[in-house]
Amino acid sequence: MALTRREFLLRSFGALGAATLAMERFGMTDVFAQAADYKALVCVFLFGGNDSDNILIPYDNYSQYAVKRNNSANVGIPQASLLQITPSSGLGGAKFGLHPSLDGIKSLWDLGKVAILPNTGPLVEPLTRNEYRNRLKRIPLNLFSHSDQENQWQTAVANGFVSTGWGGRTADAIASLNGSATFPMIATMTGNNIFSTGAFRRPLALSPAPSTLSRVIRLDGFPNPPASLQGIPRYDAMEAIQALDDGFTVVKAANQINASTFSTMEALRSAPDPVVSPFPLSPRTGLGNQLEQVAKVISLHDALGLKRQIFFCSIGGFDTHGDQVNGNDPTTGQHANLWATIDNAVKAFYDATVGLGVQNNVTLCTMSEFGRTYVPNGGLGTDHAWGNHVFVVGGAVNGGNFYGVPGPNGTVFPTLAAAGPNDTDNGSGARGRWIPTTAIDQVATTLASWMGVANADLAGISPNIANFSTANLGFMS
Amino acid sequence: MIGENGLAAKLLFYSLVAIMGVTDAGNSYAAVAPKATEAEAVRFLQQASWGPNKATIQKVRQQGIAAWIDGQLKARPKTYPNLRFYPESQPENCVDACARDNYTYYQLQKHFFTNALTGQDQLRQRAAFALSQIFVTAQGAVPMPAWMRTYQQLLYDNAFGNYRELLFDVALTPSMGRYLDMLNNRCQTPVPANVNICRNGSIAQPNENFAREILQLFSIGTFMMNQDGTYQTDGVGQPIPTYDQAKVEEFARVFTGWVLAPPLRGVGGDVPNYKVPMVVRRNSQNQEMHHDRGAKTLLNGAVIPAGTDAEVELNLAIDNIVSHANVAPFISKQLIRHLVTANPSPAYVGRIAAIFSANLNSANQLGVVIKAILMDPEARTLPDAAVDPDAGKLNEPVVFMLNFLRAFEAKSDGVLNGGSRGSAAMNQDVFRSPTVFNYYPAEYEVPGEPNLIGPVFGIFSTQTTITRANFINQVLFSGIPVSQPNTPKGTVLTLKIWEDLADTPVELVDRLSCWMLHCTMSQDMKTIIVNAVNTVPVTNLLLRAQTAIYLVATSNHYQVLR
Repeated sequence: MALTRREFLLRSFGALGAATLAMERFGMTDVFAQAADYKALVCVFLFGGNDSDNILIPYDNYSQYAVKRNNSANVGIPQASLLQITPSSGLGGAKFGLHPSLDGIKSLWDLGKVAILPNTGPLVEPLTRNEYRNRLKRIPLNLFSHSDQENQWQTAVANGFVSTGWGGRTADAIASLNGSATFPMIATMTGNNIFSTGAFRRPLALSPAPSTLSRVIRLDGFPNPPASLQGIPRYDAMEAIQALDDGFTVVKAANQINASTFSTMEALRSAPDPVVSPFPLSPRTGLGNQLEQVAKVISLHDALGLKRQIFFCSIGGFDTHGDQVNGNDPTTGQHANLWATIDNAVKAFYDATVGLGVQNNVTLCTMSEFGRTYVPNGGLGTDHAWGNHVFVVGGAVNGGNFYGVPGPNGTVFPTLAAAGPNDTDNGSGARGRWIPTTAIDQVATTLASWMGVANADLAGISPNIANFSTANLGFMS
Repeated sequence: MIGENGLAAKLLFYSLVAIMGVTDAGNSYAAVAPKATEAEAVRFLQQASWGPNKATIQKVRQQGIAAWIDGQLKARPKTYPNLRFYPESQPENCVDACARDNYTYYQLQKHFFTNALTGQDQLRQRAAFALSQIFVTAQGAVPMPAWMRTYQQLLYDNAFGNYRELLFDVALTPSMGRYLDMLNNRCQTPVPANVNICRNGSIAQPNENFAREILQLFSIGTFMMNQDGTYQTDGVGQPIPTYDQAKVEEFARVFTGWVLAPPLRGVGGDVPNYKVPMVVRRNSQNQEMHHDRGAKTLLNGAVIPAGTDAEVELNLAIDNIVSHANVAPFISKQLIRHLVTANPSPAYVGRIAAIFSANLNSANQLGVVIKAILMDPEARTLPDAAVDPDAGKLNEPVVFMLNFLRAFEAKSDGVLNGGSRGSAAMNQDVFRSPTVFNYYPAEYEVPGEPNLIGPVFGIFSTQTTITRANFINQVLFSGIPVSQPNTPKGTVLTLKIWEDLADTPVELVDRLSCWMLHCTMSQDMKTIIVNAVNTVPVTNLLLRAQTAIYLVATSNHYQVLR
């Protein structure tokens, strides 16, 4: 039976009808008072598929990891170079090791500010290996495909196509907590993305530092900030034209983006200078610049009247099919450099939140569209896999532990074995692609709860949440 | 009198013949007036060229749309600059212009823009750029412009050619081999070893990158389609995948054993050969070294027997892919999206897919398809918001920029990609898209309209809207200044004829409505602009003209083609 795209999308949502209705509710302005406290969520997306098997490595059980990842021709990180951490419960006191690039995150782990969610990924419903291999349960669409898996991480829907992300839907759900503030709750430092897109609210796209925030949206040919542009005939005419769409939907949608741009521009022009020092990163990095700008926008939240903010940042380059490490020293190379960038930027960001006194109000989490094959390929690289490890950083995190749903070995950390109990694959060609035991859906609802979404509304954040054992993984205090 | 009527009748007859002559598949077009009005010509050229200007509007009106297209199908392509092949590691003495020209994409981008502004083969350029957004390669993994030049020239030369041949050529172009890891891909050594399957392989399975993307992006997509581009569903209403992981792995085995042809004589010595197609590595006994010679099962159960040579196998695999029913609607839909509308009706897609399929073996298949896309009634009909409010296509940055520059007869050195107001700042860095998924996602939805596709909205944000306006502000009010050595001539518009109209703002705005918006500007918008123009003193005619043009160009009525 043939479907147009419209029908197709509606049908793939058919099983999620209740959630659709829940989402539509968010359009109504609930009359809540503005929240008393301040919270911000910062999501950092690692594009390309992060080889998290090389970021969090068993230390006591290193020999398991080393079966396929420690001979001279491949990508293994030597045990001696690991930064040791011990999760506080659920793993029997076993020691693990962080990749040597993560010294900043390690120091935050020691302060109890980091939680790790091993083997997380898109799921429609929990899956054992047998259920996956024999198709006894529903599995996510288009596994191992970058674009589809990115979408599933950002939308928390693995069995259909949705046009909104869980960040955007969270913003829709708690919009009233920002009272009458008109400045957008969500800002992206890295262009449009589906995570930030809500049903009713669009994200603000900003340029990263060192662009000055008051001028980051600056219309040339008009006076400099802080003067308002209202009253200048050409500007007024632009605004008036923005209200005309001649009945065409596409023009109207574009107009709304312009309108949002202009109102944000006016707000930033009159906001005070942020009191955030440039990050101590030399040279500047892309992610560092993004997080520095995030810190600046966070510093203005009072001036902008915001009690809740959500941010999206990204770093690319993780699709390491080849040359993931330097052959003669696997602790160096492309993947190590990417994580050094992340580590430095995240540490500098945490320190900036301390400087602003909001370290207990700001939570940062990482995401990546998939992990990579535990068994490398022939080119010092790894290929597309599935479950991967998520890092959550901040003062409100119940740090120092691993969280999630235990898998077949009784813990949240997967068994690193090709054709083992966590592997999608079988036989001598098995690559070690871990079936996630924790769903991104559950991570989304946990963070959304922390941000203030009521329990009854969590199905609007993650439409499939009822399929899973818990909507709150417990890593937020 | 009789003579004139006879002439008109003759023109009508020949034009109809010209239209009918391209209906290889036996389809007929709705009656298209042989001569276009100015508004029709403007709108058509916004679809089929980089933007209308006086010369092309005149030609389209004289020849008629069908004949103009035919002329374009025959126009010879220009060549990208012939860049010398430098070594990948930059010599110490290659600095300044040498570094700019041979280690950045400056020359390729400059040529792209200058050719767009002045080249005669406008439709070919549009088609080639559309193909470059389907068969994506980008500087991310293709560092040298000379390597990318080979690839872009291939797409440009074959923009009106045969899809199957193009797919084959794309597969063997070394830039693509490097971009998606088919280059040097090796078979997996079987256990126990067997040199008849894999003579010199690796312990791991072959890289899957190219196998996955040739299916997902270059040919059939991820879900089964009907011929009209709608999705098929199974018994419980779920979409049906076109392939699974196992199939990707089979194709990955096909795409093994290929390496660069012997080194080229480049600058300073031999350099890797990113000029000619990849070749199969064989040893001195002419045996394949890295190709997987085992049997393979491809799409629709087709089996390639064991012992098949790599060259034969690649041809069989390409044939296998191209024979899949999804190719016609998948590719047709994308070409329609790049040229005409982001949301074609299933009937429109079906008509084009039929022509694609009927011409599968024609040397000029893509030319026929592109002509059909532009001549289709759905493309040629001016949308009416009362009937079809969802019509309209947000223009991508280079289309927006070039339309504006051509409309105002810009003189430019083509240095338009970089800087704070270039296409890169609008998130379309030419030939340098962030991933193989192009500058923007192919199925990005119009914000707030869940079931309406608007791919360019993927790069239309609160930042890039401002950049678009700032580009207009710069070229319109001051021009892009000369800055040696990299901006040798700058960019400046020709505004005299508009200045001359600026003391009669109503007439000025009426003309701009037709020149830029194919006469669709509403009375409300005209009034707003006329009032804004009237706030500028009549003694400053240039500023009055600029004010009016600025307001049209920055409006979403200009950003969105309808």
